[in-house]
Parts: sequence; structure tokens; C-alpha cells
Amino acid sequence: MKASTIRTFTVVHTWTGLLAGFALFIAFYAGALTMFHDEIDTWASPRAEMARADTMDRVETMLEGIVATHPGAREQIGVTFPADHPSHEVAAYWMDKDGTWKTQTLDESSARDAEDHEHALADFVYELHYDLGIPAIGIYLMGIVSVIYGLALLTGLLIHLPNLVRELFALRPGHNLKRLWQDAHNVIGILSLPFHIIFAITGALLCLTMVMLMAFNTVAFDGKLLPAFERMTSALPETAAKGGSAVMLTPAELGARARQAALASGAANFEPDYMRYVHYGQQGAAAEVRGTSTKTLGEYGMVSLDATDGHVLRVQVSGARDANHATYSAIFGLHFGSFGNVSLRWLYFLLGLAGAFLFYSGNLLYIETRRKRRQAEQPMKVRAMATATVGVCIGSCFAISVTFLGNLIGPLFGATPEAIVQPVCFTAFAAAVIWTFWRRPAKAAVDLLWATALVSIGVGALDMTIHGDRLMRTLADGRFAVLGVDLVAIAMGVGFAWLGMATRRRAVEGDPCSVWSSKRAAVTAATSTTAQQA
Amino acid sequence: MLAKTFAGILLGLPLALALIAVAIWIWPGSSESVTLPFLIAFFPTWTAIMGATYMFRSGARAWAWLAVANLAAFGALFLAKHTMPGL
Repeated sequence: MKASTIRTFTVVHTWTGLLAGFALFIAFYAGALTMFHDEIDTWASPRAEMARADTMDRVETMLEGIVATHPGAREQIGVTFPADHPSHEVAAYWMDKDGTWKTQTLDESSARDAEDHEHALADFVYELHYDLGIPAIGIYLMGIVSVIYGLALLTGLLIHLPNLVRELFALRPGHNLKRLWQDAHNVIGILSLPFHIIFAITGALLCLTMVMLMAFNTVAFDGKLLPAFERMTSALPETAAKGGSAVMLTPAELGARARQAALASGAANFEPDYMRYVHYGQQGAAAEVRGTSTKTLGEYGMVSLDATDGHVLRVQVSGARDANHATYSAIFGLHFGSFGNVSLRWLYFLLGLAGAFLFYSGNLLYIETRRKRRQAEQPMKVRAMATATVGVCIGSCFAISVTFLGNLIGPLFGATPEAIVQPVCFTAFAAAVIWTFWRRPAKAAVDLLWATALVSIGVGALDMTIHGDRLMRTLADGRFAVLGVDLVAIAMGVGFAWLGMATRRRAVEGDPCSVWSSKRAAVTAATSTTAQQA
Repeated sequence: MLAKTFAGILLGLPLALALIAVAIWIWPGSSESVTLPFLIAFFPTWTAIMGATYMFRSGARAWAWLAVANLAAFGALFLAKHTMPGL
């Protein structure tokens, strides 16, 4: 490759990285935490653990009641199984005739809007991961970010391709700090490249599939793609209501039959977690049961059955599915890291944090490359980038830790966690950004890292104190989710403290001709001997 | 540089769409059976086109060549639509 081409790709890599880096940092940090969504959900609601787990025995009564009062639900109504998720909630979902999605759980006596429920802590962190907490357009924004991220990956790979093998295991500590950061950025980028390719592609797909489908549907397939997409991703054949009335098989019965059919087709196992009826209570009614299997890349599989006599219509499970269903399922499996056991989730967690570091170090390299080596006062763009990097990146870590703390101590003051997690997170984030402007990045980075460390350790320690009885109870049952969240919070707090100490050392002892030096006023000299150090 | 960037974004998008659509249309046997695996390739194809656009000697050349490529790809799509069985 010509030197000028490499230079062009370097410029593209820099700008795509800067454009997408901040959103990606938050997405990767929150996404890494979301690998333990269910553990955080369990941890976040100590009372839910005491509640009786829902069972499927009262669900027919609820469904009959819903279709009697909401005629739209007859067309299609879905039900969750109380499978493995911590809330053990059985809820029905359907679309009313006016086009709004409604939901009702076993404990509720009437329907409510499915869109307007407030998020608990784990779901809120998940939402930060895919839309940064921005309603409606956030998910499309993250889709565009994913495309830019793909271009940054491609150009980054091309820049380093000539030296890839030589520099793969190079990590050169020493006087040249920029060299060290560059090495760390390259090593992590190259070693986790397969992981990043997966996320650039599946991330764009998960956010923008509907937009993409609509474009293909109109431009290339004359309106035939959308109905085909339904066939490509579900197991239901075409059905038609034949009027009259019919007695429906229960979800429990249909789930058991679907499981039998899945096992007979070669799936290692099959745990139903969601199902839907079409034409509920009428002749011609059918049902599709979705379930998870292990020992496959795409854990989700589906079996469709006749809802009156229970005979199997179609099977799309691991080992017995076509290319479309296998691909669709694999997108989710690869993105959510659900194709392995808990060690895979730890791997995704670590790679997620490493990804966040990758974007952070990219910003540091931007600053380091444009640093004025002979003067204390740094150019505007360097100061702006340092402020934005500290405020947004460390600020979001701080805000998420504070949100965990708010979830923990809010109930002590009579607040419901669902109502406070979002305002607490956004307020803490805004405070961190303002603090960074006020204190300048060098000092603010140290302050925020220490604050994050303190809050994180506090989250683990306070939970052990306030909910010590819950911790003991879960440990006695051999459940380690609560202890896990406490210990990881403390461990991450220690990690942040270590970063805080290193940053403070840099601010006090490091090269004063840098935006990361706190000794701004004291230094004027380009002749200063310290300029040659660090 | 900026001209190439916009050429990659604005002309690369329809080009990637047309290329993927043609591949699905002319797939021997059932096109529907491979539609999703091909659609997955849409974003990587677009990204690759955006990256490759920087290899052109000038922005004007990038726009011209991508426009020609678009015409060819949409021409092929038009032909495929009128000769192939489709989904």
C-alpha cells in the first residue's frame, strides 16, 4: 500500500473513531455490565426475590378475560413463560385494534400500555447500551454509530496491516508514552478484532434491520420482502381464522409438546420462554412456542403447533432449521454471547471493557499526537478533546455507579427504584461533565476516578450491610448472583482507584507540557529539563 | 477527501443495496432460502465500498465511477427482476 493511502486511511480512522468513540465507550461499558443483566436484576430488587414465582396455572383465565374485553387480542396474543428470568413474571402482550401494544401480568386485573413502563436498574443499563437513554431516535443513532464503527475498524486494520505481525506482541513501556499507548491500542484492537467485527455487523443489524428491510422491500423486491421476512424468521405457516369457536390448548400443554418436538428434531434441550397464539379461540387457531437450546450458536428456536389439537406444524430449532432461521438466531447469539456458559459471559464482559478502553485510548492518542511539547498551554482542540473524553467517558462510569447506589439507598428514603434510576443517572452524568469543565480535565479525571471508586466500593459494601440477610439466604441456597454483583462492584471500585492514583501521579510528576499536567501555571519554559522526561 | 467520503456514503449505499439484491435474485434455486444470509452482508458491503472509495485519485473520479457502478448494478437488478423467479 502506498504511503499516501495509509495517510488517508489514518485520517479516516481518526475522524470515524472520534465521531463514534464516545457513544461506543458508553455502549461497551454498559454492554459489558449487561452481560450480567439477570444477576443485576436479581441484585437490584431484594423484594422480588421474596415474591412467589408465577406459574402457568392461572394463565388461561387471564387470556380468556383479555380476548373477551380486547377483540384485537384474538388476532395475536403472546405470553411469557416464567422460565429462568429473575422476575418470574407471566405477562401477556397483544396489539389493540387501535394499534397500541398492551400488556397485562397475572397479578394485574386490567391491561396497561406496554410502552410506558419504567425501567428497573438492569433494564436501564441495557437501554443505555443500545440507545444511550435517548428515547425513540437513540436506537437509530446507535445504528449509524455502528456503521461508522465498522469503517473505523476497516481503516484501522488497513493502517496496521503492513506491520501487523511485527507489532502484534509489541508493548513498549519506557520514555515514549505515546508509543506505549499506541502499542496498547493496537494490541487490544488486533487481538479482539473478531469480537469487534461481530459487534459492528450485528450492532448495525439489531438497530437498523427494519430500515434496511424497508429499503430492500421497496427498491428491490416490490413489496414481497416484508411478508417473506415473516416466513424467514418465524415457524408459523400461513393461517386463517375459520370462525366459530374452539377450545385452546393451554400454554403449558403447548410448551410441553413443542419441547417434545424440538428434542425429537435433534435439539440438545428446549426451554420454552415465550409463545403466541393466532386466532385465539377460533377454528384454525395456531400457536408458536419460542424456546432456548444449548450447544448451538443461536439459542432461540421455534415450534409451531395447531392450538386446538396440538399437532406440530413446523419445527425451526437447532439441528433442524433452514439457513434463514439459523442466521437470524446466530445474530442474537453472537451479539448477546448466549451460545456458551458463564465463562463465555465473563469473556464478553472482559472484551467489552477492553473495547471501552480501545475507544478511550484512541482519544488519548489524538491528544498525544497534537500535544505541544514545548509549552504548558495546549491548543484549543487538545483541551476540548481532553475535556470531552474525561467528562463523557469517566463521567458515564461515574454516573452508572451512582445509579447503582441510588437504586440501593433510594428505597430507604421511600423512592421506588424504577422511578429514580434514570434521573439519578442523567443528573450524575451532567454533574460530572460540569465538574470537568470547571476543574479542567487533568484534575477532574483524578476527582472523577476517585469518586467512581468510592461509589463503586460503597455499592458493594452497603449492599452487604443493608441486605446482609438476603446475601446469606442466597448463599445458603447456593445462588451467587448477589455476592457476585457485590464483589464485582468492589473489584471495579479498586480498579478505578488504581486508575485514579496513576492519573494523579501523571498530573503531578509527569511532563508539565501536557493537558494532563496539573502544574499548569508553574511552567513556562520550553527549556525545562522535565520536558525531556516522561 | 470530503468529496470521496460523501461519494462513499451517498452512492455506496444504493450500490451495496443493488449488489446484494442482485445476488439474492440470481441465486440458483430458491432465492428466499438464502435471503437473510445475504442481507447480513449489506452493512459490511457498504462499509467496504466506503473504504475502497478513498483509493480513487480524486473526488470527481470517485463520484463518476460509483455512479457508473450504480447504473450497472441497478441495470442488472432490473434485468434480474424481469427474468428471474424471485422470492
